[in-house]
Amino acid sequence: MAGNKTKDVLFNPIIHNNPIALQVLGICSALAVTTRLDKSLTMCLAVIFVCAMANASVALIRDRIPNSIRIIVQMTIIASLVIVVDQVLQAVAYGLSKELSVFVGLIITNCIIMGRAEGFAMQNTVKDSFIDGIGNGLGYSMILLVVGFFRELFGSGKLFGITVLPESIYQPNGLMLLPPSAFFIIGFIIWAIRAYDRDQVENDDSGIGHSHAH
Amino acid sequence: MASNKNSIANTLTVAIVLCLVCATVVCSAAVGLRTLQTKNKLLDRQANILAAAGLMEDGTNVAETFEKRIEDHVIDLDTGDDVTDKVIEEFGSVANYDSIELAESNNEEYSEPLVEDPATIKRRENWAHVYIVKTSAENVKPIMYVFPIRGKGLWSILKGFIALDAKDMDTINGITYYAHQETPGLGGEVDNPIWKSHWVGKKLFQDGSVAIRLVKSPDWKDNPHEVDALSGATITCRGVERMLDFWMGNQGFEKYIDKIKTEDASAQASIN
Repeated sequence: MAGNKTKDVLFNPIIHNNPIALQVLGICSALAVTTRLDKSLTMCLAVIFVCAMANASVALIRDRIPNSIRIIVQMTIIASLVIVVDQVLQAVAYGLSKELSVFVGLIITNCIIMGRAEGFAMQNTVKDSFIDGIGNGLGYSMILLVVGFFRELFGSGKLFGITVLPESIYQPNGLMLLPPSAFFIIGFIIWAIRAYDRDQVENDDSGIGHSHAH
Repeated sequence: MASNKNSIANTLTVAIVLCLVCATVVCSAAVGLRTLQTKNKLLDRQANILAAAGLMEDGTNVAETFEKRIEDHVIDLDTGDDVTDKVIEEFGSVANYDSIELAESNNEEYSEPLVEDPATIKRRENWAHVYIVKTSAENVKPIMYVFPIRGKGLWSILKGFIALDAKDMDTINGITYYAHQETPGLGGEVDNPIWKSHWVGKKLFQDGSVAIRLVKSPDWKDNPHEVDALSGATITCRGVERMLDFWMGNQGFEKYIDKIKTEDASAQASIN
């Protein structure tokens, strides 16, 4: 991983190596918070912050961390950062923090953050790790905002709380406010990304279906 | 470097230093942001009182509306007497008196341990807030009384408010919960506005005792004492029932409510 250009590190996770769409990590919060764009945006900012700062912190002490407590050290750093984010949210956006309830705390369990800390920050410089954290946070954010856009628009006719499709023109689709709709939308996004970027399509090793059509 | 990194000495050092640094960061954040958070919590509680009373809409100015329409009183739960003046003497203002905090911190002077504790709150404050909803800023005639309630659900103590209509002190005008840690989607559905709307118009009492029950029966709409239970949240629902049993019973606001009813009756009698 040495010698990654900063630009690649920052932008790869958005389309080419998207944590949700390719690595299929961090889905749970994507399902729960994307019923509205303001909740989605808050979650995105929280994850970008935690991912970048956790990566940077782990990279900073990567040469000193003993193997026996490696994972716990990463967890402690991530957990502390999430608690700080939770405290800040309660101070500046109390209403939103109540809406997000447990999902801010669950950022600790978000596989993306732990995955990057273990898989990238342990072997890279502070600067590269910080940028990688932002990049993966942005990749996560892109998916969340797209899903949030469709779910809020078609589930309640609003965007960021402002009515865009009044009930006279469009009857909101209640299914869009339930978690399964997020699954469907993520599925469509993965399909779209892999149609655009053929490299992401996995080889069919199982022999069950035909090899993917070209 | 490898052997140095994995030595016991280094392991202990890293562990201890990391814990100290993380603890400092987390505590600084919590302490530094506390004033802002307390202000937010107070505003949120006021918003919930207004919501229970049906006075919250999109764009309502919480502080202003609360100031205009709500009178914050403190009453003695054992006698039903209004002790607002005593509270102002001892605490400076009614807003400074945090009854729940005193009970939860085991304050000997202002709270007592419970022997019969159906809502599992362990201690009960001696004096509790009651929020009287006025018709308007000038017209002080009460139209509703909002009572703070709390009790154990499945994972947490749910804290909220219930609003009773002043005309009979029996009709429920609204219920809200401002704090709980129940499972989202299950017990957390106490926050669902549709469920909350089911309570409006229900009657709390029958033959002098709390009669509200959360039921699975499809006939709940027709029964004035039944509310639709929450799927997959049995224990939370039992908690809601028990906290109403407690707070609206003789260890709760019953004596105060009886006083209000007697005063109203005698006021009516003197008019007639």
